[in-house]
Amino acid sequence: MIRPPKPLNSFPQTNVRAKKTAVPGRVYIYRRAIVAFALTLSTAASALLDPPRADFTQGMWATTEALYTPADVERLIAIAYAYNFNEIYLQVRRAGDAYYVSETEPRSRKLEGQPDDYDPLAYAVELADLFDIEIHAWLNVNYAWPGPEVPPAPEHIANRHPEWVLVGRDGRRMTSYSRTKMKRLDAEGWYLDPAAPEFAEYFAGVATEVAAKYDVDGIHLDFIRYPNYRFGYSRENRTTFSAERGGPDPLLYGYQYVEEDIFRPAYSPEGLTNRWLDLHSLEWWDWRADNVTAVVKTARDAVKTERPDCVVSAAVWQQPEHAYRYVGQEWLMWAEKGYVDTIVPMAYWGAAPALIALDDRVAVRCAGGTERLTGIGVFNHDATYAADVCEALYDSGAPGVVLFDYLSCVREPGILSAVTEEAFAEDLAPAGGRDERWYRKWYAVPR
Amino acid sequence: MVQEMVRRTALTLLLLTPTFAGSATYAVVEGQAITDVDVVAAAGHVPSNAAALANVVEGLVERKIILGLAEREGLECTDGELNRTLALIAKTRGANDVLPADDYRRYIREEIIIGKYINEYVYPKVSAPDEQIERLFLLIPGEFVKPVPTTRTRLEEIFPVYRNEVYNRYVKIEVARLLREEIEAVQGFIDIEYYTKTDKK
Repeated sequence: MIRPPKPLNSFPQTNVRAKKTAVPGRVYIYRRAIVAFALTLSTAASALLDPPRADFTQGMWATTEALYTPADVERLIAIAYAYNFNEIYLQVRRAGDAYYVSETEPRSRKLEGQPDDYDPLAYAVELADLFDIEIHAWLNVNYAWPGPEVPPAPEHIANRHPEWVLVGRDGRRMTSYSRTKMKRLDAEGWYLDPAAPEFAEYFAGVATEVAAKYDVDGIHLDFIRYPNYRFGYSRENRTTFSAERGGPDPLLYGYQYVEEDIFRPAYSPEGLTNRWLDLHSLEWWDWRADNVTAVVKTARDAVKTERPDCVVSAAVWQQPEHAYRYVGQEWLMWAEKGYVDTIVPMAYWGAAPALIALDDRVAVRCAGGTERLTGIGVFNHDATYAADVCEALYDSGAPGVVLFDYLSCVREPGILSAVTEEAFAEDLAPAGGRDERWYRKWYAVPR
Repeated sequence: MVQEMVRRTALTLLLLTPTFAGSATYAVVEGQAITDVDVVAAAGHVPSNAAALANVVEGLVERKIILGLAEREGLECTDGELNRTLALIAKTRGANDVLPADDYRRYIREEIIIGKYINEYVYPKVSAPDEQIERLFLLIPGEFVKPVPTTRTRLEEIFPVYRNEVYNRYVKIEVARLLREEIEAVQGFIDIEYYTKTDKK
């Protein structure tokens, strides 16, 4: 439907081009094995399809599991190539750590079994370049650490700046929360405060380091937000806010956010009291959103200064008003003003008409030139859904999709083939259980 | 409090009067009418239950009284302030598709003025000593924590965790109480007329 898998004669037959990498080290290339594997997949291709739109983006998010070993990287690139994915959003910063060589950020513990000179991002960029696949380095911004234990690396940002970790409405920092409490408050872990005075500059440095050292096609920002409306209530923030915007202590309206009855006049002293706080809360949510926007702008400006050709994109929550008031993402405005080059709403829920309507709405705000893609959830749907929504978006003229995520694609039988309308679903759908060990075994590449 | 109950009862009785023929006005406060339009805007519909209708009408009367107090103090809302508030509401909740645009602008403008009144004349009167906040928590712990600890000692131990949330509730109760006091203080001096449903005004 979108693009068929590659024909037999499209695979690179020449030797690996010598390519200068920004980071010295041994490059693990098993070219013959990759080509053989991809040829195996392509051999089964049989359907004749309409020529795909050359400008359509077929992307996928790949989490850090795709980087644990060189073989993992090879499988990722081989599968992406075989199924005609032209962009990979590759997670290289998950929890304040690095799946690349960094002067400031700690190397991920998941790489401890690998040689010291194994650089996952460098290897992925090298391989992807052979197959004309774009690599966008996916960096988690405000999400810092799962907790509750402290990060083992002393140079982890949460250890270097514990005062940047968000404070809840109870006046306590997230570092003091138990796992149960974080779950109850709908927080995945520790988040860093976008309002912290030097946070924006710090993160811009993280993003710029990646853009400068690696020939990535883009920097992709994720978790660029608050965890939810329950956080950001440090004494400093409340004081700063009151000085800038007036009104009573934000703690007073931190326990409510504007409900739908804002569209009806309030009455009675109780109703008028609630309305008084509701109207003040508008400034609080706006102030929080301004903090997040400042992080986006600072990162983008810094990356563009270092590498004007590097695309800066952001993964954002699906529903714009909910994203704004719940987590501080004013992302329609980011798109409109060009604070990012590409906006990718994570439209993981809803049928095709809703996703097309969202894409149409975003298109209007992107009239100034910002690109847009639609994030599709395959982790929570089956192959039929994935095929239906991708096809509907493709036919509607949407510029592209990004599937979440690579692991779900290879675990769920038939998703990749359904999306690309390929007939060899059986080859990718083993009968047994599907867990991570399964896919590693199934895709073992001979060395 | 007694005066309040008497007034609400009288209003309910008025609204219970038979031969209901659909007057559009329920009350007039200092020359400003409270009509079907206001009741529907506030409640979504005209309640068929007389007590519920009386509740809405009385609440709207109270709104008019507070607005009158604010305007007497010279408090205003500029177009700039109104437009900013409407824009922020749109960012948070999307565009208004509930009320006619002019009505909605008027209501929000009035609420901004009332909000300024509360900021200047009511909220500063709120005192929230820690012992009062803790007292509220001990009175209604189930509003803040579940399951509710069975001993007072345990409640006192966990109070600091919930202190900010209780403070929020305490201030809201106090502001509403002070607003009601202001209303009661001036009600005798304000021209308020209530109408039965048969009256056409």
